Amino acid sequence: MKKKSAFFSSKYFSLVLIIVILMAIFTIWSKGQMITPLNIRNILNNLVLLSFIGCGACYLMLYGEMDISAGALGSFAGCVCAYLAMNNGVPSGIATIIALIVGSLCGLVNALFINVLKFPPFIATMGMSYVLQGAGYLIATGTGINIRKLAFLNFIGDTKFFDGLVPVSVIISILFLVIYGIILSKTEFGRTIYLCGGNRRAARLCGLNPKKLSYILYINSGFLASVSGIIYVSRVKTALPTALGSYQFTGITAAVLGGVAFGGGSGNMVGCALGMLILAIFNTGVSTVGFNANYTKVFNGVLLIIGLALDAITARRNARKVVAQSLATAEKDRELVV
Amino acid sequence: MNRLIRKVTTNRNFYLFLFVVLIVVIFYSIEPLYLSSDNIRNILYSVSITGVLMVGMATLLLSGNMDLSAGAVGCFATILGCMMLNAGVPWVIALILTIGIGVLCGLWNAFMTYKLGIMPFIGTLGISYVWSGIGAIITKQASVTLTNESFFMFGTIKFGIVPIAFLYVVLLCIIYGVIMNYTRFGRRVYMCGGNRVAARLAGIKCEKIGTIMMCNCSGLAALAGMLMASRMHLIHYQNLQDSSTMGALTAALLGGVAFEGGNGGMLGAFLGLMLLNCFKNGIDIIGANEYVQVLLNGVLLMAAMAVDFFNNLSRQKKLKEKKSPDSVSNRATC
Repeated sequence: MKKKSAFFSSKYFSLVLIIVILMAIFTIWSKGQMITPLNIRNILNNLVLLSFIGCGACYLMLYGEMDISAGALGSFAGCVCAYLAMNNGVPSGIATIIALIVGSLCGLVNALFINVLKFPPFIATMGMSYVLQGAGYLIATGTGINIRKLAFLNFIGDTKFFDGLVPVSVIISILFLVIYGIILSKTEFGRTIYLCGGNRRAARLCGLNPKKLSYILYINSGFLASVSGIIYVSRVKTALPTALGSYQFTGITAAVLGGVAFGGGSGNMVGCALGMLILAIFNTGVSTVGFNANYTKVFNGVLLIIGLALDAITARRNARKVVAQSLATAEKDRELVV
Repeated sequence: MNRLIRKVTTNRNFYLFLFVVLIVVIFYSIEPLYLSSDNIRNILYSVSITGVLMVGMATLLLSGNMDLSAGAVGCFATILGCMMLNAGVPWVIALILTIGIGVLCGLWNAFMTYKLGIMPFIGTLGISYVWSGIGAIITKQASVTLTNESFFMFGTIKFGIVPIAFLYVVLLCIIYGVIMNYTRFGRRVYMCGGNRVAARLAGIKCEKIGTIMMCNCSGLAALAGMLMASRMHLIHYQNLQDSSTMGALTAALLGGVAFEGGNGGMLGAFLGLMLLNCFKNGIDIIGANEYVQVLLNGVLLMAAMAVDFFNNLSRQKKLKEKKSPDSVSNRATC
């Protein structure tokens, strides 16, 4: 009984409630189109691309920074994979591994700019996203690279389980979400992220190494973005330098909506995953109801701002609480002294 | 005379100017067409659109703020402005109304930053999606063609090879340079950018100044959009988006405006603008791939940030040098 009430008062309850309400609204609005098997698969597909980039964004935001280049990086990795496999005859499995390594190296470059040259993370990754997009155009040109007959990529993209309802990429993404969630909440490494994100100076004085962590997290973000880029290529069969466009913001929005603090140090993977689900349902629903991509863009911008505003309000309330508490303890101390 | 030479050679803007000349000479030696009158006009024209945006961006950076929605706001306001022009509103009134729309967008940015407490860069980026999305929706993704011909003269008159739009930029740079350097308001902007806490303790309302600068930046972005529309005779919802905002930011940073605010000037920013556009045009004219331009946007932004980084280093070194003789003399008196 106690457990139940704890769930109802937690913020996950409100997130689940939002998901249910969204589902209901879109189902009624689209006259039942929303819950056809095909559409549920669309939601899952949306969720897959979001989950990798969102994981990377969540980790980096817990650390207090962000990676704006994730979308361009993923698209670039997809282009590299397709370029190697189609134009140079590399076996697709090996091409995938090389693309993942290239993506991770791009993440390393981000980290170098931020830690060595002390660029603000935001600007460094933004510049990087232009560089990667340009590089993607140079190898894939404007029309993209068409991939067919690539055994490994076709396996990732096309295989489906349970009467064709659950694609294999969904299982990969759930696996990743669970592993990343466990790392975050159960391991020493996860706690290190929280500590460094909450108070970097204190973490350094405790003997942790925030700089090393930042390298790891940016490389991780690059890696995850490349995974999502490759999955996109394997599904759509065309590698485009703008494929994942502004997915990094969708990832950031999902994390913020799921309760990850923008300044770092608080939030977790469950909330983040629920945030991703909200966005996947929302975006699929909006297009099912019949709005075009421009409306989705507007709604996503509004959602990002709402999430950020809620986050800022929570942060302010927490700060006020801390101040009130410290004032109260100071009062108590004074009474004791008197 | 000696003192004058020293003054010139220790001035950063002098080296920036030399750099611009160097780039022009290099591209001219590769491709003599670079200095043909048509191409010079092209360069001056591209300077003028980015330039109007840059003036707003540079002054905003000086006050220690950030706006990544400038391009999107400019495009959105211009779409509305062009619709007004097509509906038969006299162009002066339409221009003023468009700038007013820009200012309102800037007010919203300020509201997000100061009242909602959202970090400016991510907040303005989010809102830029909203504006460009709305722009696409109201134009149904088609371009708005201007039918009000009286408006064309606003941006298309030329004096020899100098388009009037370039003169607007020069004028804006001079006006804002004077405001920033010689008025009380300008000094306050620098103070807020340099050290917000100190400025607040000195009785300066940084929120008010930030709000004014944000409105100013968005208003100028709307002006840049109108200039573009009057030259191209149409506006498309994909004009003036992120890449122009980034171009303006890059130009200001190349010109020595500090990213953190509080340091830099309009002359430097103007030279940075010339540097950026001469370089981009040169790359174009020696026949590089069109996709190289996209890549170049990023590389130049990184280069500009590196310039900012090394400026910061030298500034800190100078501060230390200034401090050290004092501390020595203090110790001596002790």
